[in-house]
Amino acid sequence: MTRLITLIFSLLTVTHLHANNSWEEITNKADGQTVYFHAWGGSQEINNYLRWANSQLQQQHGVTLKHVKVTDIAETTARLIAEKAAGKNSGGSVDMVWINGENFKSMKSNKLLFGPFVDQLPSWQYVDQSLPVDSDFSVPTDGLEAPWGVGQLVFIHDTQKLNNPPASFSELLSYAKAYPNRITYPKPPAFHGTSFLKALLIELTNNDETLSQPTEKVDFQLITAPLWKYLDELHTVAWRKGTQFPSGSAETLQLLDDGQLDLAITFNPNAVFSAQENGTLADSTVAYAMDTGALSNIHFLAIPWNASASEGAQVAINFLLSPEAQSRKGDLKIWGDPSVLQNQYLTGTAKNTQLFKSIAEPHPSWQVALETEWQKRYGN
Amino acid sequence: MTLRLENLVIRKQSSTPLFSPINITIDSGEVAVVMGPSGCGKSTLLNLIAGHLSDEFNFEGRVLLQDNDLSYQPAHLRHVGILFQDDLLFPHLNIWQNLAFALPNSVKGIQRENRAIEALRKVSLEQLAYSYPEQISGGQRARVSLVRMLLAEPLVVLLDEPFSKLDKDLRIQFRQWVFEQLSKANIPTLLVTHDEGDVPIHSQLVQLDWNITNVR
Amino acid sequence: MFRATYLLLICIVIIPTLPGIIGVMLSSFSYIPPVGLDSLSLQGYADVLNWPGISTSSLLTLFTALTSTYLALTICFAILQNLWRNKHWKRVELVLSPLLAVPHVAFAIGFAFLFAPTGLTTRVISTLFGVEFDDISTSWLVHDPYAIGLTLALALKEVPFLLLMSIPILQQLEIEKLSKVGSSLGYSPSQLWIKVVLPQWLAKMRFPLFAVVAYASSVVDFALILGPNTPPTLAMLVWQWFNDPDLQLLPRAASGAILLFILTSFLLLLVLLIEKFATHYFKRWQYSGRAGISLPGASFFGIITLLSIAIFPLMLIWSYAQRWRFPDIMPSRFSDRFWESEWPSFLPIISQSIAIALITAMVTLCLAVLAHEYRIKNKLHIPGYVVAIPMLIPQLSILFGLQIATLYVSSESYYLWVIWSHIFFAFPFVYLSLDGPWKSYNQNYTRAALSLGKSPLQAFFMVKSRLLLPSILYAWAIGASVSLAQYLPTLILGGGRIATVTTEAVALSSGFDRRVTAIYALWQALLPFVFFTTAILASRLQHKARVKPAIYQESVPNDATSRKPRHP
Repeated sequence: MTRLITLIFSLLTVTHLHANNSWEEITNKADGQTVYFHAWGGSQEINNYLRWANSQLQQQHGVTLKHVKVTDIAETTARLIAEKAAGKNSGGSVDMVWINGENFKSMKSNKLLFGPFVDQLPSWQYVDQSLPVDSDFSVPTDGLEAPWGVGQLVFIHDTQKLNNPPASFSELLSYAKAYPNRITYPKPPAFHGTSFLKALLIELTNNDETLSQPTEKVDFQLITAPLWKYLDELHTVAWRKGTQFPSGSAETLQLLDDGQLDLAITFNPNAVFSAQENGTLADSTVAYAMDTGALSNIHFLAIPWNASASEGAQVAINFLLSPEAQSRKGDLKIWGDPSVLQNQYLTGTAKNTQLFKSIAEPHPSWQVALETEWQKRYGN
Repeated sequence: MTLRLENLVIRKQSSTPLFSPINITIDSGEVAVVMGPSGCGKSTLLNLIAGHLSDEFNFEGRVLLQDNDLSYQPAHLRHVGILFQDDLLFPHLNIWQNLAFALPNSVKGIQRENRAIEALRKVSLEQLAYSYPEQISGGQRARVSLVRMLLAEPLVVLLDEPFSKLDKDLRIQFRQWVFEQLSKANIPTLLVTHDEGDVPIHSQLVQLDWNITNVR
Repeated sequence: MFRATYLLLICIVIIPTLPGIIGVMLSSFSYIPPVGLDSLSLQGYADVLNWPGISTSSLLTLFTALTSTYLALTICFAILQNLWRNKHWKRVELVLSPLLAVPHVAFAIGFAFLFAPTGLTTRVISTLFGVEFDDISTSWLVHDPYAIGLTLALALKEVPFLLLMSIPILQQLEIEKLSKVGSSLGYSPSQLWIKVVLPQWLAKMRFPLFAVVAYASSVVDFALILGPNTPPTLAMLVWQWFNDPDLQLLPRAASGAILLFILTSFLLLLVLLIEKFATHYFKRWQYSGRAGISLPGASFFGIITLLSIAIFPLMLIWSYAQRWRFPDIMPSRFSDRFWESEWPSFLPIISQSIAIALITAMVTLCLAVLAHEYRIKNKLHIPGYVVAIPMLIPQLSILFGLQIATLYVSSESYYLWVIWSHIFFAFPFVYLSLDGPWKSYNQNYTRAALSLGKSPLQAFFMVKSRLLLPSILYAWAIGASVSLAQYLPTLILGGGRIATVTTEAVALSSGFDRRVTAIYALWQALLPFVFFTTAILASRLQHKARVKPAIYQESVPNDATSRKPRHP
C-alpha cells in the first residue's frame, strides 16, 4: 500500500516537474523571439497598452511583441488561408491574433490554429471560470484560444447635451424621428456595425431561440424582416439620411465629440474613462446599456498553426493573462477593458469594474448572413 | 498717317542716354532708315515704338502717330506692324491660317479663309496656302511673314534688320519685294539696319548720334 | 559587361510588368492554383458586373479623373498666362520644388483637417460668423458622395507637377518672340496666350496629362482619405475586394483590376482625343480673331501655395491638442503626451522608412544613370514610353499579379520584395528626371577627357558626373521621396510586417485620433524635404569647392529644365 502511494506520488511529482519543465522550455525558446501580433489598431488606448506590454515582455522575458495594426482581423484570416493553401506549414508571417466569433469559427474549421495550449499556461489558474471562457459565440474553444477580456456593446452620450437617452431600440427609433440627423451606426461589415445589427435583431425578435442556431436551419428572411423594416425607417431620419455611415466605433466617438452625433457606440464599457483621460471625449460623457442588457462576448487570443514564434506567442499570452497585465488593462485611465480574471487577483480600478446586464451572442453564422444582406440592401 | 518721334531719348537706368535726342517725321509711304553699329540700341528704339521697352530702360520725349501719343499705350493697341529677322510664323498653323490669324476681328467665318488666300494670290504665293511653315523655303516664309503683317492693317511698319539672316541673292530680291509691297500699302516705315546696302532710294536717312560708350 | 548590367536592369525594372499583367489576367479568369482555382471561368467578371453600384463607381472614377486633370490643367495655364517670366516668376520657381515635395497622403490629410465638416474652415466660419452647422445632411468635401472634395484636392496637388512639366515646353516656344509678333498683330498678352501658346503647349503636354489622369483614376491612398464611401471609386472598390477574407472571391478583385486598367486606357485615349480635337481638328478658334480672357493665375497660385503651407502648422497644433472641441478655433488644452507616447514606436518606423528610401534611391539612381549611358552608345535600347509604363498602369493591376507570384514563391524576404517594388515604381521618375540633363550635356567634354587619355569610366566619374551632379543629386532625392510615398506596394508585398510612415499615416487617418494622425502626417511631409535639402546642400558644397566656375555655366544648379520630377 505504501509503495503504491509512493509510486503514485512520485508519478505525480514527475508529471508536475515535467509540466514545469515544458513551460521552462517554452520560456527559454521564447527568449529573443519577435512575436507579430495581428490586432485591431483603431484605438490609441489599445495601441498604447500593447506598447507597454511589449516593454514588459522585453524586460521580463526577452520577447518582442510587434503590434501589426489591422483594420479587420478578417484580412489576417485571408492571409493565413493563403499560406495554408500554399503549403506553408512553418515560418508563417503571423504569430498571434486577437479574434472571436465568426473569425474564430473560420480559423478553427480551416484548421488554422495552434494548440490546444491554453491549459498549459501558468496564468490559466487565475481565470474566472464562471465566465463563458470556453465557448466563443457558442462554438467550443477547445483550448485553442485564450480569453483576454470582456466586450459589451454599449452606447455613449454627453450628459450635457442629452440627459435622457433612449433605453431600448424602439425608443431609439422614436428619438431619431424626433431629432433627425443625430443617430447612426458604423457601416457593416465593420465589427461594431454588425454587432449593432445583432443587438437590434435580438430586441426585435425578443431574443428568439432561433438566433442560437445556424442560419441555414432557419427562415432567415422571415426572422430578419422586422430588422430591415426598422432600418428602412431609421435611415430616413439617420445621420446623413443613411447615405453615409461612420467607418467604425472610433469615428462615432469623434462625431459625438464634434457634436454631430448624439450617441456613440463601443464594445468597451469603460471606454469613456480612458477617452476622457486621453482628451478624446468631454468629461461629461457617460456609457450605458439598453434596459434589456448589453450584447456581451469574450474576446480571445490565439496562435496560428504555422507561427514562427509560437513559444514567444505563448509567453506573451501568458503575460497578458497575468494579474499585472490584466489589472493595467482594466485600469480606467489606460484602457478599461474588463478582465477575465477572478476579482481577488486584480488591483487598482480594474478591481471595481461593474459589468452591465449581459445578452449572449447569436450563432456566428448570423454575422456573415446579416452583413451580406445589409450590403445588398443598403451598400450602394 | 504720320509717325513722329519728338525729342526722344532712351536711357539705361538714369545713366548716359543711348543716343542724343532724336526728332524724326515720317509720312505715309515714306521710308526712314536708322543706321548704327551692332549693339548700339537700334532694336531698343524699335522696342520703344512698338511698346516693348524693357524695365531696365526709361525714356523721355514722345512717339506720335497722327497726333496720337503712343508713348504709354499698351503694345497690342498701337497698330504697329513689325517685321523681324526671323519670320516667326506659327508652326502649328498652316500658311493661310497664319495669315487669317492676322485679319481684323470684323472679318468673320469663311471670309477669313477667303481673304487669306486672296492675299496670297496677290503676291503669287497661293500654292503655299495649305503647306506648313516648315515645309516651305526660308525666302517664301519671309514673304509670308510680311503679308501676314500687312493683313493686320498696321498704321506704321517697323523693320528690325529683316534682311540680315538671308543669303546675298535672296536678300536683294526680298528687299526689293518688301519695299514694293510697302509702297503699295502707303504706310510710314522705319527701317533699322547696320548694312548700307539695305537703304532704299528716296528714303530719309537718319543719322543718329549714338553714344558709343553704351555699346556692349 | 555593360550589356550584361543593362540586361539586369531590364529584368529588375522593365520585365516585371509582364508577370504583373499576366498574373492579373489569369486571376481574372479564375485561374489561381494556390487557392484551389484550377479552371478558367468568367465568374470573376460576372461578379464585378453584378456588383450593385459598379456603374456608379466607374462613373465616379471617370468623373474625378477627367475633372481633376482638366481643372489642374486650367489652373496651371492660368498661372502660366499670368506669371510667366514676369517679376513674380522667380518666386514661382522657388516655391515649385517644395510644393512638389509634399507627399500626396500628407496633403490629403491636411486637406481633410482643413475642409472636413468639423475641420478648421467650418470652425472659423462658425466662430466668426455664428453660422450653425449642426444640420448638414451631407458632407461637402471630405468623403462626399459626388467626390467633389477628392477631385478638388487632386487638381490642386497636380498643378505644381504640370507647371514643372510646362517650363521646358514654354522655353522651347520662345514666348518673348511670340509676344512681340502677337502684339504687333494686335493681340493682347492674354489673347496671345490663349490663341497661340495654348494650342502648342497643350500638344506638348500630352505625356504629363497622361500621367496625371492615370494617377487620378487609379489612386487608392488619396481616395481612402478623401473619397466617397458609398459607393466608392472603382480603385477603392478593387482594393476592398482585394482584401476580402474569402479567397474564392479573388477572381472578382482581379477582374476589377482589369476593368480599372481598361478604364484608365480609355481615359488616356480620351485625353488624346480632346487634345487632337482642340488643337487639330477644330482649329478655327485659333485664327478666328482677337478674343481671350485673362484668368486669375496669380490668385490660383497663391491659394495653392497657401494651402500647402497651412497644412504644416495645422498638423503641428493638432499633435499637441489635448482637447479641441468643435467649433473652437484653438485647442482648449494642450499636451505633449502624444509625442511622448508615440515616439518609441515612431522612431523605428521613421528609420525603417528612411532606410528603405535610401536604398531605393541609391539603386534606382545607379540604374537610371546606367540606362541613360547605355542609350547614348546603343541604338537598341528601351524606348522612353516603355520606361514610363509603370506610371500609367494602375498600381493595383500590376501589384495583384505580383502578389499571386509571391504566393508561388512563398518566401519570407519581405524587405527584398518591398524594396524591389519601390525601385520598380521609382525608376520611371528618376529616369525621366535625368532625361533633360543628359540630353543637354555637351558630349564634347567627355570626348575631351577621353582624348586626354582617361578611360570611359574615369571620364564619367571625373567629368560628366561632376558637371551633372546637381541633377544627379536631385534625381536621388526624387527616388527617395517616391519610395517614401509608396503605400500599396509596401502594404501588399510587405505582408503587413513592414510599416512605413506612409502606411501608418493612411491607417491612422481612419482611426480618428487626429492627434496621432497629425504626428505621422507631419513626418511623412517632412521626410522628403530632408532628402531634397540634402541634395541642394550637397550640390552647393560641391559648387563652392570648384575651381573653375566657368564650366559650370552650362548646367546651372537651379535650372528648372534639368528637373523633371513628377511628384511623390
